[in-house]
Amino acid sequence: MLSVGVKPSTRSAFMLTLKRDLLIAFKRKNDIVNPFMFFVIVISLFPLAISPEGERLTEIAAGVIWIAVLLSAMLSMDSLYRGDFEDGSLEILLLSPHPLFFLVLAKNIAHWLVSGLPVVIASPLLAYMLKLPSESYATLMLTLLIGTPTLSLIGSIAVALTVGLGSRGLILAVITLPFSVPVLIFGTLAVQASASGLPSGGYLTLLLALLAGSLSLAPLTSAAALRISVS
Amino acid sequence: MDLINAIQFDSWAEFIDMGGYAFNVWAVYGLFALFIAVNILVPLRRRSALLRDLRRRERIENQVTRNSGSTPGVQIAKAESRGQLDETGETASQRAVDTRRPQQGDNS
Amino acid sequence: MWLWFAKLGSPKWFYELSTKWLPWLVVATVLVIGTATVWALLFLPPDYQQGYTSRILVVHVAVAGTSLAFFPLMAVAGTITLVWKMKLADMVAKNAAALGAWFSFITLATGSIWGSVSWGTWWEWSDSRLVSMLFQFFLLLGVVSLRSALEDTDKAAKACALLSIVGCINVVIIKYSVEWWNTLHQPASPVSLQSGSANGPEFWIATALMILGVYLFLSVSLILSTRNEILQRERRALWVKEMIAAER
Repeated sequence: MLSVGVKPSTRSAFMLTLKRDLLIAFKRKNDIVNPFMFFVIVISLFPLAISPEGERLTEIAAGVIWIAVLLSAMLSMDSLYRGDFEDGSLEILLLSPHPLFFLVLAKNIAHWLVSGLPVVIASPLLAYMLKLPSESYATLMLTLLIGTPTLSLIGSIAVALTVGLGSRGLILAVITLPFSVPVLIFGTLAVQASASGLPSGGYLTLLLALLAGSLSLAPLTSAAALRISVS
Repeated sequence: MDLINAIQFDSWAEFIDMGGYAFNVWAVYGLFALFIAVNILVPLRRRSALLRDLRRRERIENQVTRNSGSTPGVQIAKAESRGQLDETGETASQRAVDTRRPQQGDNS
Repeated sequence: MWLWFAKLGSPKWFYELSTKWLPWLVVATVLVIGTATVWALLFLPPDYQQGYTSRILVVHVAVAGTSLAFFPLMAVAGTITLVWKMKLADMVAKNAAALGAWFSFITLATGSIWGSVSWGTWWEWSDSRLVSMLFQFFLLLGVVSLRSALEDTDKAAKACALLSIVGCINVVIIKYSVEWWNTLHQPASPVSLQSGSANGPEFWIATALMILGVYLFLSVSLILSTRNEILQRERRALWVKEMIAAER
């Protein structure tokens, strides 16, 4: 705990926010488990709806996994600032003397660790079930590893803008999904390229560029959005 | 005349037919006309509704100052709650807040 | 200079100026769009490849080109709202989002009508312009729905301003990524998706005139709805009351 009168450094404020959010996430397991279960269930519905044939599944595997990632990200994003907004700790966060950029970044990282990382880890299993060629597992995991934080960072802006609204599940998706088009395109192109034995480095570089861009701009925008919403 | 000669069609029927693409060409121009009409007429209708509302507000305020009974704000709030002044397209909560606000001049 | 800037942001000043200018703008719009339409429909010689369907392109290209102006416009208005807190900028931005969605929709509709002749299909995923226009349409609808979801006018103004700025950046990224995606998924179809190369100078003059006309129409529609917004938001201002009282 902090002692009164001592101003912690921004670095420790960052770490404290990160730890606090992780702690809260593990206390409220539903917020982590449900989006993940949604991700798994959506993927297992596709073979039922399309075909059990391996060849057809191989063709759509990358797309299905990426779409499921997008949708489950939408679901999990909803809890990013909601709890803090409802109990008023978001206002405390905004009053903090530290740059809001780092605090928002800490919250985003904590959120990604509990919602994005499980998806990345589980992806090879689901890729196997969708008959994705085994050569492209590594690429798939890599694209998800770069892509999911980008999605979290972009989604964070929309969540911050709509945090004050009562029922915002759908408006969040309407705002965020078009924004995630570039990530979707480069993510699936990379996996498809590697599945057909082509180099996928170019797409990964572009995904990295998107991540770098959103890492530097999105927390700034989210911070501004939070200041607008909580006022 | 030169202008008449420059017309690409010899008859009305030919003009309507558009070289066999009558449906596509006329659908696009019809859509374009509809698009322009809607985006001009809808603001105009909203304007006349707004003006009607503003005139009604003004009438109520005049009555009130003559009768000097209650304040105009209260009177307008009453009229709003009866649903007489509903053309402004706001939510009820916003109106309740707005009517309590003092009059403002224009500010940039 | 700052005085002029502050004056520009005053709704009253805008309202009074637009009352003076609007009739002239309407006349100009009618003249330009009328001339362009008559020219396109009557005088434009048929294209040697596309025949009379090039008449569709005059409208389509004009609306499509103009619809690209909305996100930059909204981003500029949003910046003004956030930095200088100018009310007028938000009133323009609010109506621009809805009008922009209309423009994008008409672009898609006229594009698919043209495509039904030239490509033999109403929708073609391999045309990157159509696809990125579709996503611009979605983004604009997102701004509109955010606006209607937030009840507080001031909060909605700032939130939409921010979303418009982010959206403006994103439209560019989406455009390039869709183009990239498109070059890799080019289907082996014999249909050439290129258009416009075969059109002569008459076509481009008619189109340029139509673009001017559509821009004029855009400003007329935007001014009309901004004036409504002013009347609604400033209905308790003294100058509005005086104007209503002076009518009788």
